[in-house]
Amino acid sequence: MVLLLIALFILIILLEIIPLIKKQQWRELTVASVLLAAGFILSMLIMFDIDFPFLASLISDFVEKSLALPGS
Amino acid sequence: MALEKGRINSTGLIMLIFGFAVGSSALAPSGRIAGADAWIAILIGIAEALLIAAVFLLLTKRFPGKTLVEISDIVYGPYLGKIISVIFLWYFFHLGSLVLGNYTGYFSSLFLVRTPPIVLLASIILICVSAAKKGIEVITRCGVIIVSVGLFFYLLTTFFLFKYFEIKYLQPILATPAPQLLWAAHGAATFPLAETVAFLMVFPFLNNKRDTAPATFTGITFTGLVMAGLAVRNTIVLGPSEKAYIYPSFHAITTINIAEIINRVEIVASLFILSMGFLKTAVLLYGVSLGTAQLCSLRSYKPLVVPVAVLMSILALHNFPNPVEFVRFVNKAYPVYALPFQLVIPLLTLIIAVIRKTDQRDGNSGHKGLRSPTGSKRRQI
Repeated sequence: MVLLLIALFILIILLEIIPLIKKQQWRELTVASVLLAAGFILSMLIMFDIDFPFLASLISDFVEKSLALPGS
Repeated sequence: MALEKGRINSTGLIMLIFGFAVGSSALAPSGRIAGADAWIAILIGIAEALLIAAVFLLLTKRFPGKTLVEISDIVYGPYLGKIISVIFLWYFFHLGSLVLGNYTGYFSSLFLVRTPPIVLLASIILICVSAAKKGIEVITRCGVIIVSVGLFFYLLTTFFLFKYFEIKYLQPILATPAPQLLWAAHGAATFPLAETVAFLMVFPFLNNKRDTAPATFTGITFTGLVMAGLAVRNTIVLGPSEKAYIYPSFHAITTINIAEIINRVEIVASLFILSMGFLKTAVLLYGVSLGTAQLCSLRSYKPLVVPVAVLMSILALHNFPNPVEFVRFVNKAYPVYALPFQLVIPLLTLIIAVIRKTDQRDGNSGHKGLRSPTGSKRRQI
């Protein structure tokens, strides 16, 4: 599964990042690489079963604790 | 070189707003905490959503041809403006992930139960990436086709359900306590009607800028009325048991059985719901990519579409542990969470723009380095 994920990211780099190098669009290359690297790191962490809190559940807990809402 | 060359017309915008908003509400009906009075809550919600829309439409009228990122830069200055833009882009990004997650959850819990959610999610996001890369014009054209056919199918399924209608399920009318009804109305306004705030990234590409406000108001009202129709239909078909379902529209359509010939139409209905979800995700993905490109002064937004889509997919899988959490989020947390993005920040931006007497002209003269997706005086790298 990890290999599949790495293969997927290599495919994205080949299709999306390499053309930017050829066109010498360095600024676009930097932003796209940073975003893609963040995606890669996060998906690797998920792959290795590092527990992340569920975002929407966190927001729900916070709102419910902070406010007395109708229907709560 | 313009970041976006495509142009859309007002009919396209109305269709896109409809597809953007109604898909999500068909999946998770708005105003459902009001029970049988959901349709009344939605009608009140339309009024609130129109008021919210008036704020961001006044903003776009003051800065015609400018996207949200450019408006923030002009009003707040280069530093605070960027922070405000990032906050907005986060909202669009998170909304996109929520929509993706909802659709994945819908299909993996009802149809393709043994398929890993990541496969369904990847299939949806790949089409969205393709559409977002083609630009807003292509997304709008898709919207016109999908919404026209989808609307026809909506009317057809409602017609087929006619024999199952039990008007008594709507009674007693207005039995819901006022605070709960108003909360449901606010819920319907924020999800999904006022989510059209995301169109601040699309309005600059309208052919005729004067059509922006009428088209948006028409789109929101039309969507609201169809949502109210859906709420009435689900209530009079399913009755009080509607509240027990996570996806009542699906279960209402499942009951269709005309002479043992026309049945299982929920598959086709779900495909249209999915198509509208595609529209919403594509618009949000496009908005986030374009906004990020403008934020970083890039020449093209297209290289960012895939990385943003990857991040959106990861978040989509980590929003809710289960569909029940999704219902809890939509009914209770989302109306509070979305309000700053939909109303507070646009209103604040408008007030500051009025106080500082900042408008399009000042913005252009004061920020020569700023890129406009529509203007011709653009800095070339």
